[in-house]
This record gives sequence, C-alpha cells and structure tokens, in this order.
Amino acid sequence: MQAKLNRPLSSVVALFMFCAFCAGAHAAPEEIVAKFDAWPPETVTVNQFYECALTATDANGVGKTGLHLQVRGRMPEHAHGLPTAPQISEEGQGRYRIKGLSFNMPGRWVIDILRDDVSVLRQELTVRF
Amino acid sequence: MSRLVTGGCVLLFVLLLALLLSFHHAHAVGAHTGWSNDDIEVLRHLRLSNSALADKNRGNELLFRDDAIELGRRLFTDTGLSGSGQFACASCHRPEDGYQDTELITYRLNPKAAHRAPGLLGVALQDWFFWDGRADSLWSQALAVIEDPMELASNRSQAVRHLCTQYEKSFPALLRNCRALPKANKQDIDRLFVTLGKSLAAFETGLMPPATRFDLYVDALLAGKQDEAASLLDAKEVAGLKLFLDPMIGCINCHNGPMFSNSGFSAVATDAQGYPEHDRKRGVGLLLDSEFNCLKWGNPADCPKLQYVLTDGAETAGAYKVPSLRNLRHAPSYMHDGRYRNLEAVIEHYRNPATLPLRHVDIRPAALLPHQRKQLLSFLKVLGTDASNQEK
Ligand code: HEC
Ligand code: HEC
Repeated sequence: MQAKLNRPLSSVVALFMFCAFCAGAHAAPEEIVAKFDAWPPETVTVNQFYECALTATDANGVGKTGLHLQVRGRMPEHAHGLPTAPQISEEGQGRYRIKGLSFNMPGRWVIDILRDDVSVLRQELTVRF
Repeated sequence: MSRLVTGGCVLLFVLLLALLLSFHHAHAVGAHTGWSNDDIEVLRHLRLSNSALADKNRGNELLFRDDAIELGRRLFTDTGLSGSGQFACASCHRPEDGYQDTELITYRLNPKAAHRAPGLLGVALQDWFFWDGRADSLWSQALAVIEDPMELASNRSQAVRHLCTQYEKSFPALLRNCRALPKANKQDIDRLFVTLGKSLAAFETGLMPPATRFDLYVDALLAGKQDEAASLLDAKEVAGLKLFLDPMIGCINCHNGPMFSNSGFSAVATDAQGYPEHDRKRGVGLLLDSEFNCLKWGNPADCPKLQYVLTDGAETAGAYKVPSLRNLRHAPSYMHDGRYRNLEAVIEHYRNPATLPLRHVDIRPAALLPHQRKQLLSFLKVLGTDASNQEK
C-alpha cells in the first residue's frame, strides 16, 4: 500500500526535478565579465585597421573559453554599421583577439561585443581624421 | 587721487587683457579667416597628396619601373587589346578630357551598361575599383576590362600574343617570359597577362589630378598667409567650402581624404530603376570569386582590406563606391549610372533624396537654401580647376 502511494509521489518529485532542470537550461547564461585590454588608443583615425584584445571571465575571475562572440559597431547619429567584417579568435584562458576593425567616418562610434546577440561589452569611441 | 590710480590700474589691466587675447588669437592659424583649428586639420587632410600611393599598391612590383610605365602608356592607346581591334582604353577614358568618357563610347557599345566610365585622375589612390568595387587592385581591374565582352571583348591568350609580338623587342626585361609563348601553358599565359595588367597600372598610377585653387588655398592658410588665401577663393567659394564641411550637411562624412572619398561604399538613394542592381552587394561576390584578387594572387599579408571585407548586410545593398570629387571637370554625367547631367541636379538629389520604402540609405535630406546650393556648387567647381593654368 505504502509502495503504491509512493509511486505517484516519486513521479511528482521526478517531474518537479525535471522541470527544475529544464528551467535551469533556459535561464540566462552564466554572467560573464568582459574587459578590453588597453583599448581604444588615445586617437582613432579613419581608414586604419585596428586590432584589440579582450578578456572574458566568470564572476570569480576565471577565464571563460569557448565563447561565441561577435563584434558589432555602429554610429548612433547615422544609420550604418562598420565598413568591415572584423574577426574574433580565441587565444586561451579567456582572451580573445579582434582583428579587422576599421572606421570610415569621423564621429562617435559604439562598439558592442555580442554573445548570442546580447551585448556583454560596450565601448564608445570618437574617430577623427 | 587714489581713485585715479585705481582707474588707471583697471585701464591698464583691460589693455593688457586685450593684448593677451589678441596674441592668443594670432596664434590660431585660422583666426582671421573664420576657420577653427579643427577645421584647419580637416582642410589639411583634404589637401591633394600622393603619399599613400606605394601603400595602396603593394601587390604591384612594377609600379615605379620606367619600362613598365612606358609599356603601360603605349598599351593604354593600343586598339590591338580589343577583340574588334577598334577600341583602346583611351577610347572610353580620353586623356585630353581627364580620362572621362566624353564621347559616351561605353553606351555606344552597350546601351544598357549599368555603370558609366569614371575619369581616372588619382585612380591609384583608391582601395577598390569599379563602382561596385569588384576589383581590389588597379592591375586586376585592367585584366577584367580586357576580357569583359561589353568592353574590350578580347581574351587573355589573344591579348598576351599581341603583347609579345608588338612589345617584346622594346621591353625585353619585362617580357622575358614571351620566349615561352609558342608552347606556353595556362600558367605562362596568366603570368604574362598579369604583367600586362601591372604595366597598365604602373602607367595609370602617374595620372594624378592637378593641384586646384582649393589646394593652394589650404597651403596659404597653413603657411599663415591670409591675404594670399583670400585671393585664391572668393567669398562664395569659401561659403560653399564651409557648407561642404558642415556635419549637418554631411558631404564631408563620405567625401573626405585627399581624393574627397573615404574609400567606402554607401547607399545614397541611387537604386537601379527597373533593372537588376549592380551594387556593392553584387560586386563583393564577384570580387571574392575573382581569380586575380589579392588573396588568390598575392601575399595574404598585403590583403587586410579583402580579408576583412564586408560581404553582406544593409551596408552593401544599394551601395556604390564613394567617388572622388576631383574628377568632376569633364564628367559627361554623374553617379554610377550617369543619371544626372549637371552638378545642380546632384545637389538637388542630396537636398531631396527619393528614398524607397523600407530601403536603407546612408543620407538624410541636406537642408540647403537656394543661395547655399549656389555656394556649394561654386565650391565643387573649384575642385575641377587646375591652378597651374592660371585660371580663376
Ligand atoms: C568601352 C569603354 C571602356 C573601355 C574600352 C575601357 N574602359 Fe575602363 N571603364 C569603363 C567603364 C564603363 C567603367 C566603369 C565600370 C564599372 O564600374 O562597372 C570603367 C572603369 C575603369 C576603371 C575603374 C575606375 C574606378 O574609379 O573604379 C579603370 C581603372 C579603368 N576603367 C581603366 C581602363 C583601362 C586600363 C582600360 C584598357 C585596358 C579601360 N579602362 C578600357 C569603360 C571602358
Ligand atoms: C553617405 C555618404 C555620402 C554623403 C553624405 C554624400 N555623398 Fe556624394 N556620393 C556618395 C556616393 C556613394 C556616390 C555615388 C552614388 C552613385 O553612383 O550611385 C556619391 C556621388 C556624388 C557625386 C557624383 C560624382 C560622380 O563622379 O558621379 C557628387 C558630385 C557628390 N556625391 C557630391 C556630394 C555632396 C556635395 C554631398 C553633400 C551634400 C555629398 N556628396 C554627400 C556618398 C555620399
């Protein structure tokens, strides 16, 4: 009798645990902290190529590897983005290198580093002639 | 008495202050011309200069060789490069007219040509060639023209045979590989074909626009010679230049640098009307497929522009290369498709760009009053002057 009663109970518990697992999988990805390493330089001028590196860590300061990051740049005052397609490569221990950044218009630019289309790092800079 | 002393002191102080202020102003270059120091920096950046030439042409080892330049000069007017034997580069790029297609030969050969032929002054300072940028070097651009059925309509083995029979004797060092020709394989032909392109490019690299009254004006300002500057541009032209630099009008955002082009591609509401778009989006695909692009035929370290090229997205659709504004003098028409016959119409376009719904464009209507349109026009015309001609 007891065993009979326990069966539905255990399935409820199992169901509950399963749902908790699902919810966990759907929750926001673990927080990461991203920082540029000494970038941008004091002056950024039009039509030069720029390269920079960033470090991504978890909340405990441990480097996060294997992240799928993307770069997006735009000029808030104009309706367009970067004139080039920069590439990000991984250098290990949470360090990522960005190559091929270039700006073809003077003015204010906003650079976003995206992880799954969500910005994890934003940098504003002013480009000059 | 003490009042007099205080009054004197105040007077002295005011005088000193005035003196100081006037000193401060005299030190700013543009003080008497109404230019701020920031403006002066922008003007310096617009001054004609060919210092970037070598850097832009790293893939062409023949660039500064006299024999290659001479060979290119002769090839440029050689009708033997065309399939029909009737046309040369110079037919559509007339040397006496700033290398513009003033006789509209392009349209005679192909009434439906999607692009007009641009003038070639300063062409070597560009990063991309053709209105859609489908070539990334001047030499590969020339090779594309030779094999384009709508242009010279020839092919590489015919062109190379012509090159060797006509020029091997006069240019033995350049054309050593012609000896292999009788039993040449594809690789030998391609190599000679590339030499042909690089020689044409070496010649074209010498086609620099003349210094204009604008350039001399900038020189005079930088040298602090205000009176001389004032004698070079009149008040209307200076007003036009100010409008050109005005961020609210926007011309300077795209038309900047010594050639008045930022080397980029923009959508300025000049979409094709009723025929397939020959824009950057299409051009970049052709570029990546080209057997003579920098990555396929060069040292990859020389190809950052191609390596990080933007291949898609709103920035490429309906976008065309930002053209130089130093090639306006003999232009028979304007924009990639030659839709406008005069500069007034171009300015009107920027004042009131016809945009399609849901279409991305990079410009906003430029608020220009009638007298301002005239001022801007008079400045654009200065960019077509040749200061060494003593014209005004
Ligand atoms: C039938 C007319 C015609 C002939 C002949 C011709 N061109 Fe052109 N040229 C054009 C047209 C049209 C364009 C623009 C095409 C485009 O953008 O798609 C062009 C573009 C160019 C450009 C690119 C300019 C720029 O600003 O991007 C260069 C350089 C050039 N031609 C050089 C040459 C050379 C060198 C030859 C001879 C080998 C030549 N052309 C022969 C019509 C011609
Ligand atoms: C967003 C970038 C952008 C801005 C801003 C801009 N232009 Fe342009 N301009 C272009 C592009 C791109 C073309 C070529 C369009 C085409 O061929 O369809 C062009 C073409 C032209 C031409 C024709 C040149 C030729 O050889 O056919 C002139 C003249 C010109 N612009 C002047 C101006 C002036 C004056 C302003 C300011 C009122 C201005 N432009 C603002 C990008 C720009």
